[in-house]
Amino acid sequence: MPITYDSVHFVYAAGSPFESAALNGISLVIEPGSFVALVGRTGSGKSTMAQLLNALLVPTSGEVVVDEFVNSADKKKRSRKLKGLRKKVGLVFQFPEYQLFLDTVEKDVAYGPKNFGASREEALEKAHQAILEVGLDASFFERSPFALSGGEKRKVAIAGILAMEPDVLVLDEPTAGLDPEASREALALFRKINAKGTTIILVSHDMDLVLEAATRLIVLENGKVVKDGDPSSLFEVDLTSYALEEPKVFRFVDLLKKNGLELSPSNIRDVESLAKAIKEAKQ
Amino acid sequence: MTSFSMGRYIPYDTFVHRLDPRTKILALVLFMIAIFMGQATYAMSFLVEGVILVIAIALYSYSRMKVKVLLRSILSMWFMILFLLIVYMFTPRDASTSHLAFELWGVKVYWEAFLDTARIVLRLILMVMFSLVLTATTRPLDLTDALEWYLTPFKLIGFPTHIFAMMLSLALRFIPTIMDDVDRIMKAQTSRGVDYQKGSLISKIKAMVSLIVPLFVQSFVRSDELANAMESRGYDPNGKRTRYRKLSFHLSDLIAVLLTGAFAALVMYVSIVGFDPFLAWGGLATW
Ligand SMILES: Nc1ncnc2c1ncn2[C@@H]1O[C@H](COP(=O)(O)OP(=O)(O)OP(=O)(O)O)[C@@H](O)[C@H]1O
Ligand SMILES: [Mg+2]
Repeated sequence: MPITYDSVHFVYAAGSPFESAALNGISLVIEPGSFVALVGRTGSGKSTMAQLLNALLVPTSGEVVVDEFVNSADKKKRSRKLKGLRKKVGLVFQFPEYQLFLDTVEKDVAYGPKNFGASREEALEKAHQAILEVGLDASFFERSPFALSGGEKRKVAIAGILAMEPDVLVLDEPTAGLDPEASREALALFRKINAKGTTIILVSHDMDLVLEAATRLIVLENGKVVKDGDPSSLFEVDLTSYALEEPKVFRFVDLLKKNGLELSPSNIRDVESLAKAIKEAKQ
Repeated sequence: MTSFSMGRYIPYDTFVHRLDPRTKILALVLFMIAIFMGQATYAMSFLVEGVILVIAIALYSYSRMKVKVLLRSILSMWFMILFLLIVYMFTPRDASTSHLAFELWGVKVYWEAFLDTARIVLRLILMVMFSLVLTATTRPLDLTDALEWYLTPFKLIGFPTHIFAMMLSLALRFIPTIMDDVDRIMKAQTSRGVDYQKGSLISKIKAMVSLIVPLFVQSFVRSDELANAMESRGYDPNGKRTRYRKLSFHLSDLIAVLLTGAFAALVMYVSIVGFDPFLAWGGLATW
């Protein structure tokens, strides 16, 4: 079943002088198994959208539906039992290192699965697998999560969500603060998880990564969807007006065009496909 | 999270907001004195406190505060109210001057027990109202500046008022930040399947651990960073420094201080001479 946002509005601290509208009427449907990238300038409402999905925030009006779970402004329609929703939708926060609290990495990663009913052994096994998946080795199992570097903490936090094996994985800027290689590895991991059928919603400012991995790109601006479509269709759009960086391959295609080599950008997503397009153009 | 925002500064622009924080602190103290002055009889007590309640309600609504906040803080006192009532019920009283209400398991319960409880509860509500008005209309930093000003005489005996004020303002400054941390950590743990609302006592305690450990870690990290940042910018706790914001005392402050001062003086006078207009009506005089 798809995820639906139905004319969702969200206002922080409604009715106080601190009131601020974060989402102004979001309506969209996310198909299962898709890899959606959510981009937009700072403060455009991405994190708010992500938290609504997990019912951590409740819409001011409208509703968000994930399978049988309804997160609605209308109290009568709202689902009561939310544990199932949280098992289904795994949310990696913007600064997930806040959530670490147990004395070893493996225990912390196993905490989520255990809360959702896994036995101790099962949870530990899932934890070990997730820790290895995010690119940390077995020597980290017994280490204290508080004695790790920022990037390592981030990886542990991501593993903590992966170990829950959610159907929908929401990642709020998971690669911020990771080195380029670690970012690439993380993205490869997300693609692998996506290939197994997990829906992925990725919030990111890294347009290169987004273009490479996403099957759909949603641009937010002032709490509204301003662009929604296939990532390569963005070639025509002036991304800088949404405070986004143009992907490097697009810039390269632009420069080639200025120098007399016209390529169709519709299939270009990364260096590989760029090289292919150049080869075809030469023949 | 709204329950955490009780008494938090709300930047409206009312007469009360614009008053000098020193005026507001002094007025608070004066009102507290007025509230806790004992009066000759119950009737007089409730009359005086009724007048103060009218003033409190006026100030409260004038500073545009929500009734909900007050009701919630009163409701959170229910246990204490019950406890007080029980204590007063079992307090032995002079049977000749007290009024018997009923007898419970052989214990004589007097009407005075209820009146005493009501009086204490009313005083607490008044105190809460005035304090809420103070904290909701005054920036925390202004509040510490004002406290520091009141502490200046202690400088003469070597009390480090500036260090004290800095500590206080840092503590106040970090309350909202810590509240944000609480919110963030609770959200992150909730999405890992922690339930902070429901569950057995044990699971609730476990849930609290998942909140408190990261909160402490975060707070220690933050205070460490803050100390480093201050030191690397050359902060000297004993240095002499000027201020960005100056407190200023206006005519309106003078009027406010004089009015509250006069009111408190009147209540004190009435209390000391034991004045009671109800004495004229024989019936109430025995209460
Ligand atoms: N707790 C809060 N209280 C009040 N306003 C908030 C709160 N959190 C966010 N906002 C406001 O809501 C708007 C959207 O915030 P949101 O966190 O969704 O942005 P974002 O797109 O995730 O930004 P970023 O790229 O910086 O993470 C912003 O204007 C922000 O100021
Ligand atoms: Mg965000």
